[in-house]
Amino acid sequence: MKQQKPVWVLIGNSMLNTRIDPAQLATLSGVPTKKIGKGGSQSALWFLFLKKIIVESGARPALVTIFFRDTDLTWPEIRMSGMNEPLVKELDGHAQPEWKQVFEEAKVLESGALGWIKHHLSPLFAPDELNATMRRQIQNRAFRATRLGTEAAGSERRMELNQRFGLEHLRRDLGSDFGEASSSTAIASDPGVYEDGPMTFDVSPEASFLPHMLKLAKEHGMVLHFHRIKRKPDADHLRRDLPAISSYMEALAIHLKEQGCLFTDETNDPSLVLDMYVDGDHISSQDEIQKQYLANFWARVSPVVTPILKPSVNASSPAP
Amino acid sequence: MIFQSIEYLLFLVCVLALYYWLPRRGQNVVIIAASYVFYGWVHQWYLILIGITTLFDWGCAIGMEDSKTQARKKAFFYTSIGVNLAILGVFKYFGFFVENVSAVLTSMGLMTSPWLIKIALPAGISFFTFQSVSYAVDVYQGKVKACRSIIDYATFVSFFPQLVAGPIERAGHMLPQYSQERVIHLHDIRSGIVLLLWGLFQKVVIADSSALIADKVFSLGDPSFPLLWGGVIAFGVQIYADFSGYTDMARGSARLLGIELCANFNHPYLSQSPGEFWRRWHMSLSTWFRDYVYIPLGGSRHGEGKMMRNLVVTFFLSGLWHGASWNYVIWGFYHGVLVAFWPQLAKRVPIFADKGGALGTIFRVMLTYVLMHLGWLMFREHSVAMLMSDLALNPFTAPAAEWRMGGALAIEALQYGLPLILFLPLLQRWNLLIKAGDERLQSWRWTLAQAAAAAICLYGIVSLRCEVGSDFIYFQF
Repeated sequence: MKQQKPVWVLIGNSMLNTRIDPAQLATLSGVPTKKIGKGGSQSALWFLFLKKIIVESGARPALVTIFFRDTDLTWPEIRMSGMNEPLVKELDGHAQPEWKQVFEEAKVLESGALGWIKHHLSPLFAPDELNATMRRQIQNRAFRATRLGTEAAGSERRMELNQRFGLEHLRRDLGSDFGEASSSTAIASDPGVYEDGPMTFDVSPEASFLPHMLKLAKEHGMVLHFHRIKRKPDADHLRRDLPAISSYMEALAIHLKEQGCLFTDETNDPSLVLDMYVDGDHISSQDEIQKQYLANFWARVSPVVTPILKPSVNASSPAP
Repeated sequence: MIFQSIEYLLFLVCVLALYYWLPRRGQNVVIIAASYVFYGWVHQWYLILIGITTLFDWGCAIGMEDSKTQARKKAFFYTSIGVNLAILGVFKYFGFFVENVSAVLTSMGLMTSPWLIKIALPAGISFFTFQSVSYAVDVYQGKVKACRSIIDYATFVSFFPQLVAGPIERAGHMLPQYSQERVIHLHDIRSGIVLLLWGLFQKVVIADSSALIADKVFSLGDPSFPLLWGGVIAFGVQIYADFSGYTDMARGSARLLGIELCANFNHPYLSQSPGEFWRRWHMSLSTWFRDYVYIPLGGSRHGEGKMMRNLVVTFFLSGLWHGASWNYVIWGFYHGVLVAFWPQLAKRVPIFADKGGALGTIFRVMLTYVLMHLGWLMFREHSVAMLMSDLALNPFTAPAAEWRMGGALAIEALQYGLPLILFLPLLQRWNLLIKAGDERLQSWRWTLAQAAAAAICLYGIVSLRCEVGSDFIYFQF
């Protein structure tokens, strides 16, 4: 990040990874473009990417685009257990004041009796570390018992399993994200099926990482762009929002505009047809479909992002 | 409300506090109120359903007992059975029936597009309707007296620890407990707490960890033979720990209230034949089908041929009880055939009977284990097309890497299942002592053993619990 000094950075999970090739997008936009896409990540990690990778690198991109689905931005708890924990630790997430504010003590109660017990026992011993160590030992024992001619280490065996459970091997229509999501351990991923989170739009700093992302971007002179992806449509190629989601999106769009952010939504785009989708909300990796998606994406966002990316050039292409 | 939640913990503490403060009649009212809160926690309209069946069956049973003529008694009996089966039919099987009929009509060109009817399945409906049916039959046959107290009867139907996923209790076992004063010993409370913790350990450590492996494998579109079987073995661990864990939590909660529920499992994977497996697995359902389907069909009274037919029919219905889906039907039929034909095989090949010493025992346990897991494949694979493709997988074409991965997944799951075996001798002895009301339970040694067991369970739950939770499998039935 420090070396490349990208002008445009895109953040997201497998929704981003299966949609955008940063090199091709850089060709279209004409500016250095970088992607931070981590399968299975959600808003809490996106905040850490913004703070601990982008801001701390000093790269200062002009624009940061965040790819999201429905209520992702105000649902901090989703996927914040298990497989994402090592990355949270690597990015020193628990030490961040914003992290403490969002996941403050009272919320521990919401994660159930066991969460409450664990929270109060953690000063005595470190259950998370113990859990990770014991699980790894169990898995390593299984690997040792099934060497079958290979001397591969545990980490290589884990990688082998990850690849076997990759996106391309999963059943169609599972709505699955866990192909990519399982990058840290072969079997410790969140449930595959994505469901919407709380549908009340709440902008208080205790409720989600959204206000913290907006504040951080303002402080460091970056413009944030939120791009809502079209989830897998029905057989007639339309994606119908629940009334509660429509109201949520209206509130989100107004709030983002008030905060000086950019917002685009491809949900009602009829050119994103069912045939382009594989495995839930992921877009097919076929070249033609990838090109089609990227061209469509660029046509949609260029009128709003070009003035930020190239302040001296006026946006020319109209939105589809 | 689910057992492994803070809500349930707080709920149980509040219920216990109120419960022990009141006399017996008040205690039953507390149980009913608590059960309705527990059951209506998510969908309040379910309460109407359980309320209607309670009133109906209570009234019909009294009607049966007070009937002066056999015809009148029969009318009450069939009304009670009819209402229960109708409720089960509408909520559980109607959508499945319509879907299949319309699919047939569509394939014959008599319809242009198939109908799809989705009716929400109230949790636990299969459990409480079966319990109500058994009550109606027992009263009709004069095995139990009709319960005159609506409070006691409503307690029997709605008792929250076993309402959603059993054990399926009998009126003869439960109603006397609800109609008498509760005597709670200190060792009941101690063992209740340990049962609760042991059940929770089974669920959040063993079942949920194995579920991660099984779910992964069953999400593959192109599984190989070894990988699939790694997943099936993981599912075998998952479903046992999941259901046994639920049952132990139910029994632990009930024991804290001074109520003893029947055991549902007796180390089923140590069975030496499919028939024995069903005497050790989900015992309350197996005995229900034996008493209310198999024996009324004629049981073994009319020769071997009819006995085999009765077994197949009984297991076919048991499969259908588990779910309105073709894979459950196939699964039930498969078990019916196994249970019916195994004794025939044992007559001809001695090692299938109780022969062959220790090696024979190991052979039979392993073979039964494999056959039961073939059944789990049918149970877990909801798509019949995918099931057929799974059954056609060739073990000899799978590369070494697939065997390596499948083996690793299976061994990993079996390691999680290890406590089920390690705790076995302790649990067996304990259950025997509790059953006998043995005074040794009050000794300091048992107190220490219970404290140690509770500490180990708690430590395991906190340090090894799976971060990704899942619902209890039997909630869907």
